[in-house]
Amino acid sequence: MKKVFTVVIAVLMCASVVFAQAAAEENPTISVWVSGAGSQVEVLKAACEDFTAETGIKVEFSAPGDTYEEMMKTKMASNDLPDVFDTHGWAVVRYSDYLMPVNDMAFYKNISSQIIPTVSKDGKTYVLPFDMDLTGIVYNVDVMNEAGVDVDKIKTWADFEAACEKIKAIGKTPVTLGGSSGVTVGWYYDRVAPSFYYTDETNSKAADLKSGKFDPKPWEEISAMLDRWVSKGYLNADCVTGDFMGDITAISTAKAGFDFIQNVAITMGRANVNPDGNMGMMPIPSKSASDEPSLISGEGVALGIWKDTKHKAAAEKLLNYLAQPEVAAKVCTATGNVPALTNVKVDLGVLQQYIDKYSDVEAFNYFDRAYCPSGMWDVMCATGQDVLAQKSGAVAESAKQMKSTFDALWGN
Amino acid sequence: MRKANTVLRTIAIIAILAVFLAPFWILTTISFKPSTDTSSYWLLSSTPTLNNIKAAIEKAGIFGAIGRTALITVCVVVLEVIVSAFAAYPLARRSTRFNKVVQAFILGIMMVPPLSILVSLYSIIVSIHGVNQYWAVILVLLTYQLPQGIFLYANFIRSIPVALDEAATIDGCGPGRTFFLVIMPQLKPVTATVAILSSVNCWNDFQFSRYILQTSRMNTVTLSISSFFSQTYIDLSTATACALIAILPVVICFLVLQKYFIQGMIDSSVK
Repeated sequence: MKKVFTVVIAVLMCASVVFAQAAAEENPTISVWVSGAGSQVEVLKAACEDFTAETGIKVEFSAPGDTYEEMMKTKMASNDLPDVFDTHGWAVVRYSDYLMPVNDMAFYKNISSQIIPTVSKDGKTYVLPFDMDLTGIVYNVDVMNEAGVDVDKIKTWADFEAACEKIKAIGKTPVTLGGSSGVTVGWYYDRVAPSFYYTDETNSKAADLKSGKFDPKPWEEISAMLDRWVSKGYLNADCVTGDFMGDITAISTAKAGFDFIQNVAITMGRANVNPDGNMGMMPIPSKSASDEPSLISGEGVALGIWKDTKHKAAAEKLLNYLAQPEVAAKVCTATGNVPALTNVKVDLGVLQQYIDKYSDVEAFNYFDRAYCPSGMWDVMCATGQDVLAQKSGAVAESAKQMKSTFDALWGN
Repeated sequence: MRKANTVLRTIAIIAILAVFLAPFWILTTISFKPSTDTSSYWLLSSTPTLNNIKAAIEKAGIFGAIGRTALITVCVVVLEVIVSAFAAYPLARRSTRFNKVVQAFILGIMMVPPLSILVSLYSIIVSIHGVNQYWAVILVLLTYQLPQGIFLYANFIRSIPVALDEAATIDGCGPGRTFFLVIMPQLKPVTATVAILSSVNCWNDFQFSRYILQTSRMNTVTLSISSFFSQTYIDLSTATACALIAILPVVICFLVLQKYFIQGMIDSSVK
């Protein structure tokens, strides 16, 4: 009797394992991780919930906010990535080894040719890009009018500094840059570095950077420019302790002239701070008069599938669902960026006129994403914070640190 | 002279109170301020709103987060009190060389910065299927809380005269009964200290919960608040509203238990 009972229990246990496995495969749960916070996360979360309602496939949605990058690094080190995750600008350099190519998926044909090179390597595209981060320098139109600055006449950094002088003269902050988290300082370098390294074709260092040679001299000039702005009082008084939201508040309430935040400063400023905020976007000045102003373009919100996922079919189903025009359009509206899928149409509101106006301006990918090995971003931000705080020798040190980290990561 | 002293003392008390209450004041002003109100954080809004509180309840699900955090905290505290009291008793009473090594080892764990073992810890959690499991976060938090508990209990037990144990032995008690009947009733103050210190630590834990409870539906209080911060977005109003609601249980607990807390601190510091 005891034996029979044991056998029955054993059979039941085996059966439950088998059935549980089968049920798991029929209705898998996939993990989806996205970076950022606010409306773009809410839109994606709602879309995942709709997906679950429609398909029965459960989605474990996670948006860790500020700690996203740190957590993804730990997950990469442990080789335990989410089934679907946001590459936050790093689809190729950082994550391509962990992602599954999407070239065979239904939405691939709709990916704009402008973004394909940014999210592809060796002919393989790794993500579903929702939007393109096409941006320059955000400014407050009212401040420019009051100071008598015509942004279309700002061609070089010297012109930009002259404009700052005019804004300072009317008692406003020329540039708002809250560097407490370091991110905004990184954005300054990302915008300025192309004009010092490669936008001028006659003096381009792009090939050197691609082959692992970093010239620290231009970097020192970029840091020296930031240091000069602090000395001349072009930056906000709390530039060391201020934050990203402080910049958005200042630019949307006409307390500052320029900021170095993406277009989201316009959409978020109008949505959260001042609905009447009169802001625009202009190209980034060049270093020399012989060069032309440029724009920054890059990957915006983009989701890829982990190559070792156990739920490939479900993950692919989710990406195809999210790539539908009506779903993708909501993401673009939330970020205020140009759609990266050709079948998606979005009204970008006040921003649209600037996108149209500068459609012929050449755009370059973010400096660190295009030319630096993964791992340079933190150095850019941290050394830039020292420059902002005007620590002794910080200008030379920033270039030295960049060079040594660049060489170390290249294995030079 | 005495009057002057009283005035000075009153001024000092008011100044200290102001310093301690300032963060709570700012938390309150921001929580009831519309995001479009750019006035100073020190000032109450001229158009106060409950939208932030509403968003904290609806968007962040702060009450659910409080419930989950409370569950984790209670489990960790109960297990910590039981395990660390059991472990501390022999360590305090039998001063052998081996026990000294064990105690040094336990204290040594307190010196290991949690971040330094994050990758290996996370890999273990993944391999034992602990991701998105409450038991995993309870286990990890308990591991990090135990050394503190053992240290406090051991010190406290050493201050209890050994004569009590000896008397119990003469009366026929074994070590187990001696512990339960003689030692344990005297551990009330130090238990309050251990419970309060570790419950505050668990309530405020961010990094272990962040790595183990990855899905948004399992967010604890700190994770809910942090979800309003990212590199490109900060919703300070909703985050402060969440924080305001989330600190209430801790403040209430502290006010109710402060008598034990202070007594416990005194008792465990005086031998």
